[in-house]
Amino acid sequence: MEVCGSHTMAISRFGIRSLLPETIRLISGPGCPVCVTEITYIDYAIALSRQPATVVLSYGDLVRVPGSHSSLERERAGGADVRIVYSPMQALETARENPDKEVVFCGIGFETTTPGSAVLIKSAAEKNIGNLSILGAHKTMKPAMSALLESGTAIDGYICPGHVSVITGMGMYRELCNEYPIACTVTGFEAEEILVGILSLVRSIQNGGDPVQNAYPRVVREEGNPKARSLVAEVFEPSDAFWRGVGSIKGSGLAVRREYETFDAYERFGLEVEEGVEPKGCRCGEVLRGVCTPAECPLFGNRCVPGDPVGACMVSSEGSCAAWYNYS
Amino acid sequence: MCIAVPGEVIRIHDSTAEVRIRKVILEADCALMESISVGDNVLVHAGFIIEKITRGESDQMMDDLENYSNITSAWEDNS
Amino acid sequence: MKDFGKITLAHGAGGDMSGELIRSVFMQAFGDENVQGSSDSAILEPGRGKMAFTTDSYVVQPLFFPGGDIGKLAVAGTINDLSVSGAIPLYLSFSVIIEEGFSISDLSKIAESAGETARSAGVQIVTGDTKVVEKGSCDGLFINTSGVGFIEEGLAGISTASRVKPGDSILVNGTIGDHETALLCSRKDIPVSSQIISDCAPLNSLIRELIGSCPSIAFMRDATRGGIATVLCELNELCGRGIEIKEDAIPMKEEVSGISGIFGYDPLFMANEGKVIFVVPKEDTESALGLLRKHPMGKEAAVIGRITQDNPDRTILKTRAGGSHILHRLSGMQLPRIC
Repeated sequence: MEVCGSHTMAISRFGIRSLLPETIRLISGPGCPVCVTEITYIDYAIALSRQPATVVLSYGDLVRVPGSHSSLERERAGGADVRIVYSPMQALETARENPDKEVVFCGIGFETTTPGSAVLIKSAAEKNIGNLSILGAHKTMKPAMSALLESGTAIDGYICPGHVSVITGMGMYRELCNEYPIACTVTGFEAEEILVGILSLVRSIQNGGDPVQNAYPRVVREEGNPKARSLVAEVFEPSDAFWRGVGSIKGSGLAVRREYETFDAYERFGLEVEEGVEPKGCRCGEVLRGVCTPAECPLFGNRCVPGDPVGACMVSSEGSCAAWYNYS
Repeated sequence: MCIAVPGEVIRIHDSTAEVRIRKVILEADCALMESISVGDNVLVHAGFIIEKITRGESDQMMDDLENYSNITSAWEDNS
Repeated sequence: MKDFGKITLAHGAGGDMSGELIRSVFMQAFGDENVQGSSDSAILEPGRGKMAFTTDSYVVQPLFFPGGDIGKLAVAGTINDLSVSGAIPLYLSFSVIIEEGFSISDLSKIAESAGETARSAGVQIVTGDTKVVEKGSCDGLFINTSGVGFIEEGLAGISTASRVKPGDSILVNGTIGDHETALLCSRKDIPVSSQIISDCAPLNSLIRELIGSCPSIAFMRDATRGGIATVLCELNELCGRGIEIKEDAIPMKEEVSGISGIFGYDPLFMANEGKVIFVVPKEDTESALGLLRKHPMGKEAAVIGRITQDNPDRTILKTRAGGSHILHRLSGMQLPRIC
C-alpha cells in the first residue's frame, strides 16, 4: 500500500501497475491530505470566508473540495476574499499588507508541510502580527498506518512516503515493523525510484532480513530533519483527528499549543458550525482504507467524476479515485 | 503526499535563498535548515528548503538495477 | 495627444475626447489608411472561397508579460484561429473596454504592439470600438478581436478532422507550456522568476507555407488554454480515431519542467499562444517536419505521436517510464498543489 497522494498520482501517471507482474497488487491508502480533511473543516473555512473583512488563504488543493453545501472556490465566486498561496509565508505578507483585515491560513498537510505552518506561526509571534491565524488540520502518518493494520487491512508492505520521511526520519517505520508483521520501504517519486521501492519491498517480504529499507537515501536521513520537528513541537501538540472516510484516529492530529492560541483560528473566531454531511452512496472510506478499488465504487465514473465529484477521493487531483480516473 | 523539487542554492539573503530549479529561480525559506551554503543541492517543498541532497552517496539499490527490463526480470525471480 | 495622462469616463463618451483618443492612439498605431475610423462599418472587398469568421476576448493578467502584451496576444490569437481553419486572415476588428484611470501611455504601448503584430502578419485592423467603464468595473483593460479570412478550395474541412486516418502523424511546431510559464514567472505574488518568454505569435505564415507544400494536411488546431492535451482530446472526439502520444517526444523547455515540478502542473495542460497541433499523412511526415523546422516559428517542431487503428475512443500517452495512461480533458484549472 502506498500512503502518499504523490505516490498514488505517480503510480497512475507512470502506468506502474502495467509494469508489474500479477502477483503484486498495489492498493492506495489515505495519503492525500485534502481527501482526508473532514467536511466540517471545509464548512468552518467557508464560514470564516463569509465573515466581514476576512481573507482566507489556502493551498490550491483545497479550494475546490466541496463542503456540505459549498466550496471555497464557490465562495470566492460569490464575493468572498479567498486566495490561493504556494507557501505559508505568503500569509505573513498578506497579513502585513492588510492590517485592517483578519487573515486566516488553512493549514493542512502531513509531516512534510506542517513545519512550514510552524514557521509561519512562530514568525507571526516574533513579529507581533496581530491579524493572522491558522485553521489547522495537520495530521501525522504513523497513527494512520497503525490504524490501518489494526483494522485488518491486508497489507504486506508499505511504500513509505519519501518526503514525509525527509522530516520524520526512519525511526517511526522501525517502530511500526516491531509492532506489526510488515515491511516498509521509503521510496522516491520518479518512475525508476518507485519501481526500486516496490522491488525492495518484495525482497524484504520474501527473503526476510531488515524489514525497514531506505530506497531514497539521497534525501532521507536516518534521523530526518530534527530542526523541522522541534519547530513543529514548539507550536503544535498531538491531538485526536478525524480522517474523512476512515474515522477518528487517536493522536494523529496536531493542535495549536496554548501559548500560541491567539494564532489558532478555532480559538480566535469561536464560530459555531454544524456537523458536516457526507454524501450518500460514496465508498471513499473503503477506498481510503484500501478495501476496495475506485473502480469498485458504484458511483465511480458516472455520478462521481473529477468535474463533478461526490466524495473526497475524487475531489482532489491526488485522490485515489481522481488518479485512477485520469490516468488509468 | 508532498511534491518537492530538487534545486541548487545560488544566492542567500537573510532567511531566504534563491534556488535554481531547472532554469527557474525560486525564493525559498531557510528556517527549517541548520545551515545553507551557496552551491548546496536542496529539496524544496511549499516554499521551504526541507533538506540537502547528498550527491555521491551510494544508492545501492539504484545501482543494482540499471533498467526496467532488469527490474521486471527480477520480479520473475522473486515471485 | 501624448500627454501620458489617465483615461477618464469622458474618453468613452463619444465626443471630442473619444475622437481624439481614437485618432492619436488607435489609428496612429494601426495605420490611418487601414482604419476606417470615421464610418460605422468598414467596407471591404470580398475574397475568394468560403469566409471564415472568428471572435475572441482577451482578459489576460498581467497586461504586459515577457514576450508580449495583451495587444499582441489579441491580434495573434485571432489570426491563428483563422489560420488553423485553413483561412488566409485579412481583416480584424479591435475593441477595447478600458477601466477609468488606466494609463494612456500603457494604452498606446498596447495599441502599438497590436498594430505591429498585425503588420508583421500582413493583416489589417479595419475597425474597432472604445468604451470606458468606472473604476473597479473591469480589470484594467479587456480586448475583443474579431477577424475574417477566406478559405481556399479543399481546406474547408480541415478543422473538422474528417480526413484524419490511422497511420497519420501528429506534430507540434515547438516547445509546450512557454506562455503559461512566462506568465507565472512574471507575477509579483509568486516567488519564482526565469528568462522564459511567451511564445505568443501570429502563425499564419508558418501555416501558409506548410499548406503550400503539404496540401494533404488533415487537421490543424492551435493549443491555447488547456494546452496540447485539450486539443488532442478534442481531435480524438472529432475524428473518432485513437491517438497515441509519446511523452518523451514532446519538446519542452527546462523552465516549463521546473515550474511544473514546483507547482505540480502537468505541462500537457499548460497554456500556449504560438503552438499548433498538425496531423499529416504518414508519407508526408518528414517533409512537413523539415518545413516547420526551417521556419522561425517552428525551429523545435517535433513528431509527437500518431493516429492509431486501435482504441478509437481514447488518447493514450506512452510515458517515459514505459507505462501508458489515458489522457482526459482537464476539469477546471490547474491549481498549485502541495501534494
